[in-house]
Amino acid sequence: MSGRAHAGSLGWRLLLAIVGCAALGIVATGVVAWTSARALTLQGVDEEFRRQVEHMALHVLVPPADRPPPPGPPPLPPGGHVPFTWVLDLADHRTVLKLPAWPDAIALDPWALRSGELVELRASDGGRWHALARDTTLPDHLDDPLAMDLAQPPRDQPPRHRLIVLRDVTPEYRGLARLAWTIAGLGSAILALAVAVGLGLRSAVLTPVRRLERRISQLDPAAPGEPVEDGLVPSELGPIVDRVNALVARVAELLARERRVGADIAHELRTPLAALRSDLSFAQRAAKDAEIGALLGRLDGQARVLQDRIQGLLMLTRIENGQVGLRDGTITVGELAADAWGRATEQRGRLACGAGMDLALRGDPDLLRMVFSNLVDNAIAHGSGGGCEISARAERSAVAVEVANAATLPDGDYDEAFAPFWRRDRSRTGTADHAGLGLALVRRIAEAHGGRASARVAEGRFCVSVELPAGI
Amino acid sequence: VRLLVVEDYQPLRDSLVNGLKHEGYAVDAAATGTEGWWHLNDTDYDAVILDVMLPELDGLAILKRMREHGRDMPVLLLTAQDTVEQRVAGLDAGADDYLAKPFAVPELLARLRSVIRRRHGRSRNEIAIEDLRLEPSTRTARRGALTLELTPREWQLLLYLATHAGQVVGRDELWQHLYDFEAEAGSNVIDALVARVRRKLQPDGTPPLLHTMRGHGYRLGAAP
Repeated sequence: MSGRAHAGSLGWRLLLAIVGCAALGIVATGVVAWTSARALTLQGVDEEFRRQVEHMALHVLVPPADRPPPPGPPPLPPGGHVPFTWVLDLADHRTVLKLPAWPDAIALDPWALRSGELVELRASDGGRWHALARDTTLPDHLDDPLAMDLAQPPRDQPPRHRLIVLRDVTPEYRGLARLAWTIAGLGSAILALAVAVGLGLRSAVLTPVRRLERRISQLDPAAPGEPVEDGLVPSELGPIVDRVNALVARVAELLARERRVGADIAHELRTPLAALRSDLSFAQRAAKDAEIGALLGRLDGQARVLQDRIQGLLMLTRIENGQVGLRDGTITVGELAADAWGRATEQRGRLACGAGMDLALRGDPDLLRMVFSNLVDNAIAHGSGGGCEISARAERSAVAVEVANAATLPDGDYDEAFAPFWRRDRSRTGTADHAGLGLALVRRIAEAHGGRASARVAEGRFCVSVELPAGI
Repeated sequence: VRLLVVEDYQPLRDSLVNGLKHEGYAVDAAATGTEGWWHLNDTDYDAVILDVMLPELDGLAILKRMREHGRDMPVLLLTAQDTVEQRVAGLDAGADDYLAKPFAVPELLARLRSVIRRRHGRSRNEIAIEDLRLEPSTRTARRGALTLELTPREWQLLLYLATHAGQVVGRDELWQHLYDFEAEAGSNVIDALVARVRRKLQPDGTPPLLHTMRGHGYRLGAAP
């Protein structure tokens, strides 16, 4: 995963936006619906209640003062209404009836109230409210009116002659609760739908972006191939594709130019060098004078050094550009060591072969020979005449080869040794025959085979370790 | 032994021509593919040193054309491009060997000797005819215990006759294989060269090995 800072995921942003909008809409709709429903419900209750009270046939029997109230339930009133005024208290859903006199009994016409509703009657005697009836279930029949006795208020206090009819609004509130649940359920369903739609949209929007990302990630910087097709992406991403294609074309052009330059350098430098070496060599063969022959030999030697450096640079460039096709082969460490020692530019000291000479390496035999040749040449050139030691050990699917020689460098890791033109003495006036390309080539070739190379100095020995794929 | 060098870079062409002539080879040179093909179509060379990148007609095209026309002269490809693919392409096109520039002259000479030797069906380097021993790698010739002091041209004559031992080789053939286009033909040049070689090859008392077949040419081998 890339460690660079980025502006967050486009997909998650999109999903969050869709779900957020849906949630906001649902909450707003819910609040409006709930508030409206509650207001409408309560308003309906109030209006209905008002209507009921207006039509309430409230019969209040006023007994004569000198006669005790009749026993038993009061008879149906003769039909005369006691005039009263009423006050409707919307907040408490109650109606306060103001009576001209304290009644002996009241009778409520069941038609005035809805059947089955709970009604609570209270009477005030001026200081306190007395419950007259509670949880009274109204009768269903017209002929069976609710009648109840009213206790006489205390005589010592003048009655206020008020009667309260309370109505239970629980059903309405239950209705509102059901509405709330409906709104919540509907909101959740809409939210789930929004998430699903969001995921779908996210996928629809991101699929071409991801396809483009995959196609771009397949582009090999060392060998950019075909341009990204415009048809892969929606038109909004077209400018990005055009830009990427322009960059790909530019990189391909630069690489092609670089390769042409490489080929031109190969031809333009090698051919004159070939002529120079040919002249020097033929002249040396024809020289009658030994001194002139030796001089021509030295000149040819310098031409060879020049040739080796050009060859090294060209090989380095070609490996870095991926222009070297790797052949598949298997060869043992021992064979490579013997070959490298046999081809060594100079054989000073001795070659000490340690463990693992029978281990096989897998890779391009020519390039593996080049690795060992450079390692051995390097060790001989800088090993103060002590030659070099080669050993190898198996490590999972790889073989770690170590080539060591005597060194006067301080202990530590020497990763810079793999940089082109690195020299141990750093003065660039050391061994004229060694330009410092050998170890750079070793690392590039090892990496081209999926391996790696490292160098360290410990206990007075410079040790280069190269990990290469193991052969069978 | 007559060679053709087809190389467009003049300094290298001159160097090869002069150096190989000094080694005793008869050498013709061509600067372009077309010129090279003209030479190849006209003359039977013992070996061809052919550059790959040439103007007009590149080396591989010449090579293919040669093989199509049955010209089976040994060809040593010389090129600045030395990747495996290029070497394979060159060898598949019919090259006998491949040498990358820049090259070491001793290696070039050894490869030339090798392709020429293979053309004559010999696997060994040394040639032995009776008590005559020729070692092409060191250009030494011995008759019994006697080492022959030969000039490059004399060496090439002896080598050519030795590679055709027992066969009669005519003057024209010898001229064609020992002298290049620039050499001025003379009626007695070959006779004089053979006479010099014979004197060195057959000092007083030694059995004759180089015979004149009057009207036909010369033959190297035991007396008939």
